[in-house]
Amino acid sequence: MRISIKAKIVAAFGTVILLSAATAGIALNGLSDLNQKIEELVSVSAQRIDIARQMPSTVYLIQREEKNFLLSSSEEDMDRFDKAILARREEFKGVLEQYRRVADAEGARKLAQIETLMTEFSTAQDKVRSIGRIHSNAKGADLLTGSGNDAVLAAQEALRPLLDRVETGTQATAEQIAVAHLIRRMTTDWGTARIIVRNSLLVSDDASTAATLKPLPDLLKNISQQQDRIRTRLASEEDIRAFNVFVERYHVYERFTDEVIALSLKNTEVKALALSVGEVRTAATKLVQAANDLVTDAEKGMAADRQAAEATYSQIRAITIGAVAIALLIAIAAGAYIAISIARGLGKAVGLADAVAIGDLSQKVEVSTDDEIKDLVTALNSMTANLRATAEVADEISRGNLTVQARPQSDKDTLGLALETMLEKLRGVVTDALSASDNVAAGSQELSASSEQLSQGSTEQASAAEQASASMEEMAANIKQNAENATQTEKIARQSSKDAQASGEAVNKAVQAMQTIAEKISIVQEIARQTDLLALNAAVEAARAGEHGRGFAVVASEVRKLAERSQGAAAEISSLSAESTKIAQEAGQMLGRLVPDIRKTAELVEEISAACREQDIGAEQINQAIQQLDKVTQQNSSASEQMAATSEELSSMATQLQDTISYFTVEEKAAARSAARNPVAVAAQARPAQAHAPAPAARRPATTVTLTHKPAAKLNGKDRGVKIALEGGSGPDALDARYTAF
Amino acid sequence: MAVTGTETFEALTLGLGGEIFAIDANSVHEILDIVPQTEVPGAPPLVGHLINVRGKVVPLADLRIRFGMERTPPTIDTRIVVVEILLDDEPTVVGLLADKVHEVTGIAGASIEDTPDIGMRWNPDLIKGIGKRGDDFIVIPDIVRIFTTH
Repeated sequence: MRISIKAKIVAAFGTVILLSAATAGIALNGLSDLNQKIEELVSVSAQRIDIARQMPSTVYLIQREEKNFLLSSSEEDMDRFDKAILARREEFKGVLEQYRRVADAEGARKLAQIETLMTEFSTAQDKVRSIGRIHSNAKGADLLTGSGNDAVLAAQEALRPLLDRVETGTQATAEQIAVAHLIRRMTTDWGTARIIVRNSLLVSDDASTAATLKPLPDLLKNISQQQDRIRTRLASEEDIRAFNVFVERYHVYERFTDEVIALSLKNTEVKALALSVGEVRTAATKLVQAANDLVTDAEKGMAADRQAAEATYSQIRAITIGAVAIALLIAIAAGAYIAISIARGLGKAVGLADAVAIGDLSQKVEVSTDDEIKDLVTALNSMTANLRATAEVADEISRGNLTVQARPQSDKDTLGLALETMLEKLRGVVTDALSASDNVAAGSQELSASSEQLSQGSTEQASAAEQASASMEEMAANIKQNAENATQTEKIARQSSKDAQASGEAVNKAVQAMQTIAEKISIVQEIARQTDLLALNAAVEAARAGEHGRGFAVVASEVRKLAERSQGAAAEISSLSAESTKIAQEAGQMLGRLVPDIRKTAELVEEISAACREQDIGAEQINQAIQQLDKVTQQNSSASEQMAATSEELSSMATQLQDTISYFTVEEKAAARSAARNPVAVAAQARPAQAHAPAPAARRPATTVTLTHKPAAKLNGKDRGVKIALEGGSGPDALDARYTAF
Repeated sequence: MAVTGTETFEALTLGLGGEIFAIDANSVHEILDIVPQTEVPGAPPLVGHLINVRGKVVPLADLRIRFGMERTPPTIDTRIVVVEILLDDEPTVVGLLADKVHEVTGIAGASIEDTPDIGMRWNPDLIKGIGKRGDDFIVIPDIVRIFTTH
């Protein structure tokens, strides 16, 4: 039965996934359980403990308020604390209600018990509140110190006239003194009675109060008797009226005293305190006990809840671990099975592929399972079979048999197709190579001859170049001489220009000097004229002197003659200087015209000099070029000799190539080829001795190698010498047109 | 002044309008270069200008006008000859314009001839006589008459 790898993997993974899903379901369920438990633990049990703990503290607070109530003295404070007690009770009830909401059955029962105890406690406390509120001793003391004291003072005021007249006056009667004495005794007793009453208020228990009050009735009776006795001894109306006022006021005091005694006998503070310490505290203790029981219960309940949560947690953990372990085992088992089956099949396939990779095509593989691995192995087997067939064809080709046929398996069989193409190309190449080697053999022979010719030509060229170089050197020397001469001429011309300029200046100076002379001469002329005039005057004077002046006249005449002569000479000099000035000016003008001409000449000579220098450089360059040409020509000569040797070698190599290619058999032409090859071989043998073999030359006239277009640019594969096309192109070109032929 | 006798007399010769005149050297005060001249409006053309001779105002006479000669502008040789003449028996100093002053020379009285009446350019009344000196003629003018006759 065929079970594919896909099906196996799907089955294994499906099982694992299902188990995982079940595990996850169980874990989720357990987690929600656990969550519920924890929720309960947090919300209910903790809350119960919290509320229960509030109960005893509230009870204590109520008791504190009660104590405050008892300790307070004023009505206001009492009302305030009474209200506080009631408020605390309400608070307690609120706490109870809160607990009732979260309580279980046991808790509810306990709660009812607490409520009963609370009622007892409240009842007892109410008694304390009602008794405490009376505050008998305090009230009695108030009465005594307030209204009682007022009454005493009023009564004593009434007695004052009777006492004052004895104590302040001086003329009191004996009777009056006796009355005063009686009154003193009575008031002393009254004071004792008042002290007794006060003391009764100061003691708080009933027995002591009774003991304190015991002597009071006798004392009061005694006071009444004393009052009667005093009344009988009173004489005046005035005194009787005063005493009556006193008695009236004393009775008021007696009523207050009765009230105070009644209050004193009540002793409410002590009773209330006793109740508070006794009955109320017992009730409170019970209540607190019950409340603490409730707290303990709540704590126990919380511990139970925690245990339940822990149990749930461990249960869930056990179930989850079990489920995961089962899923893991199944997954490992299924995985191992699939992995082993694939690995075994693929291992065999890989072995086959490795063998093919290293070129072993003889292997064949079998697998037991029926799945994709088997398909793979079958495909690999057929592949090796095909490769084997192709390899056999290639083997045939390698043996030189090109007549075999390569049939590609399909259009996409690149190897087959390539082999087929290779076979065809190889056939073509071998055929071509054969004919090419024939051609190379013939061509190399011709090349040898041509290179020899070239060598000869190069030698001739070299000698011609040397001649040209010598001529060129001579010409260069001439040109250099010319250049030097021109430079010297230039210098001379420059100097001439300067000299001419200087001459012009000199002439100018001469002209100026002439002008100065002319000026000076005019002065001389003037002097001569003046002298002439003076001489004339002297002559006139001499004439007038008559005979005596004759000698003087002679002198005057002589002077006059001299003056005339000097005048004439001066005039001559003046005309001469004017003429020479004119001539000098003309000479100056001519020199002025001469200077630019000389300068122009200097410039022209300079240009000639520059041209000569350039010519010199050009000649030098040409000389160098010719020398290079000579060198290149010599190189050409040696290169052509080398080429001749190379072509010999090439010829022998062509023969060798023909021998090598004859290894391949290309159909039935092989025999014909070998027959045709023989004459070439013979010719190749004869070539070194005979430069021009007529047979190959006649056979392959088209392959004559012409070296004219490819001069010796590469000799033995190296770049060497100058690349100069000696006979390149067809006649003069554009560059040639730039030069003028002379 | 009569030119008679045989003795020579000293004369100053001067050129005027191409002719040579001779004046008695004794009447000549001095010879001056040309000096600035002041024209006198309304005066006769003969003495149309005044000159300053060493602080004295002297009338300047141009004899060419009297002799009907062409008046040419002054040259470098033009001179003023200051002479003293007796007019109405009163010595008067007058400047005479001369184109050129030649020399003081002695003229022999014998060589002086009277002025011919005809064939003369000039009025013979104004000339005392004509002397000869070599080939040249020297005209001796009558200065006083020149100034007195109009």
